[in-house]
Amino acid sequence: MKKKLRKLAALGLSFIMICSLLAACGSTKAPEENSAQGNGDENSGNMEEEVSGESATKGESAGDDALTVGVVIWSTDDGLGADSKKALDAVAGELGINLIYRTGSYDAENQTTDIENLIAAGVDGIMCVVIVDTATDELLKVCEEADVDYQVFFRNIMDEEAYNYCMASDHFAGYICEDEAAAGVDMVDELITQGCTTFGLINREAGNGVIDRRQQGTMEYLQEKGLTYYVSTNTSTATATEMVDATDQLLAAYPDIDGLILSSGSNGAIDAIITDLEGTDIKLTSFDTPADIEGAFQAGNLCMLATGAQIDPVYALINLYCKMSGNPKSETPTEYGSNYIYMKSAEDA
Amino acid sequence: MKEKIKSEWITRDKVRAYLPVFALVFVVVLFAVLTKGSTVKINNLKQIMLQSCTYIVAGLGIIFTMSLGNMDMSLDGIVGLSACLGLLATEMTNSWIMFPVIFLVAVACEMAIGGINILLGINSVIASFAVSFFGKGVAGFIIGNRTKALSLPGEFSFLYNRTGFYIITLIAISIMTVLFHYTKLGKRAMAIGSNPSAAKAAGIHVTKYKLLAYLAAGIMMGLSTLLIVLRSGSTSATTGSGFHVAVLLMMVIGGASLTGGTKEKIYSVVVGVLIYLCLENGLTVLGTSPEVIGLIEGIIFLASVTLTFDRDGVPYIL
Repeated sequence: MKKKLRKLAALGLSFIMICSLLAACGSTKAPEENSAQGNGDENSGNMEEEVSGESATKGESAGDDALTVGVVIWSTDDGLGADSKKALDAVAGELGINLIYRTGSYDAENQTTDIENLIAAGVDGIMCVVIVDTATDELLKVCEEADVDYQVFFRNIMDEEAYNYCMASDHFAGYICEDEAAAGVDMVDELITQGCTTFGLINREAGNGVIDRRQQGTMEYLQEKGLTYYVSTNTSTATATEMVDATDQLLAAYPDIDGLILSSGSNGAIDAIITDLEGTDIKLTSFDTPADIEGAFQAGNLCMLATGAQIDPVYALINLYCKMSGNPKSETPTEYGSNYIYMKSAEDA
Repeated sequence: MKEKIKSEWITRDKVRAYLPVFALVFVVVLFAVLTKGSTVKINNLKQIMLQSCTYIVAGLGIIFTMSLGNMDMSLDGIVGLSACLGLLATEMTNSWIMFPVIFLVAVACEMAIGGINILLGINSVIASFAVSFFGKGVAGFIIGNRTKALSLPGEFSFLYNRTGFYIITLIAISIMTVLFHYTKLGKRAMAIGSNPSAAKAAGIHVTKYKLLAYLAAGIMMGLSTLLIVLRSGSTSATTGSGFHVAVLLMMVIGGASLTGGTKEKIYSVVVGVLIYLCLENGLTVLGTSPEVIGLIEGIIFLASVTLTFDRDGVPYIL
């Protein structure tokens, strides 16, 4: 009887597995229906043909010839990731672009696999939030081999070798990021205005170009001003719970800290830390956006958010679209420097 | 009588042996139909083969420790640490020293797990978690004190080519198949996994063969790390993240037994890796959202464990 039950359970699970597979597959079109594709060579052939004809209306006349872009991003369900997806979907709809997302890859090898699979899906371009700065050029090489254009967003390229390689490539559309170091300086100033004297930096480990510049800019300014600060360095994959634990540990070790700067609040970390600090007098500034910005300010601890980066993916998609359509913004890859928008109260939200 | 015939025809062993192969064929055919042949194009198949190399090589080593009945959750830490120290050594000396360093670190880590497990009697899962945290901690500390991640020097980039990866993987499969199925090492490791007391009573030097199994795992982990470094061209503190879960998932999908013993088969590594990667590739080609891909992988993992878990090997669980 017990064995029968086990077999039934196993069969049931298998049935669910197959149903899920079919349900998931059935909800999408086959690649040939999705876009003009096949393999990289075929794509470029189709594109050139159209560009020479009606490039301006290419997006509008999407239909079967719609371009497909693969988006490699850390997540699409935390604050910034969700906003990015929403913005990208809206713009892609306007331009008649199909988007395929890949999320959750936190190292260079997995991002390489993501890009390879997206290329197999017949995408015409790849947008990527590169996790490991020094791998930016390696990811581009995968795209070059498949004759697919490549755009970086939320990131610049700090590694000189990678930067030079990318900027010389015909397949590199460009990158877009904010002035991270300047925002770090402004956060320190805001905390000083709020009366803070001792600072705690909730940092991430080195390797991510953008976060590195945030942290570097903040620390250099604190040193320049001769202010006391303590650092908690966390892994790039630290969850919201781990980030809250790290914050609590830093505050317990240095009770004098009255101002916190969160260099990366991805994956819900910012929301969790805001909740954790509620009821204390500690002021918080953050580079990442909580899901409920108004509520976060009303909670009382948050005094500044460097936000507005949600526009980055939009710029990136348009820039990539221009390149894929044969109308690049410039002859060399574009280097966009976007400005953060600072929010300092619930009214700003 | 009827029931008896039925139960002999569909045994758990047969299900474990053949289902993964059928599943692989099913997945390949299903996606070939759904994508109108996109997934079975030569270029795509080559890509899947390339992606599979690092996982297969790692799995070929881990099957040795799994056959002992010891689960290894340290792969992420080992990859992170050995890649980090290897590239750091090369950066400091500007030489080929990366190669021996990666192998030495990986072997040392696996031997440490084996040593802790055997000498201190600590459960291998706990020991491997400890090594994983240690590896990630050291790699994080080294990278954290730098301004950027470590990268592979340009002069080594020629080492990354598909044919080389395929050849290395095929050689590894051949050697490990012989080692696992046709030598004392593999057979005795499986015997220990089936019943350590009986193996000891039969005159098998349990400690020696356990350590040799960990040595084999360490060498293959070193090779896998090397392939990862060559493929990604760099290493950061996140290198290897999730690798242990992915390899374990692939092996279980391929029919490897979580409880070890004589039912382990080398082909389960290859089949499991290919099922997983074909599935992921096929779903991506179809434009399925990442969340749904995760859900499907979870369900398949659950179904695989339910179908293949060897309860007889762990009677105390039930």
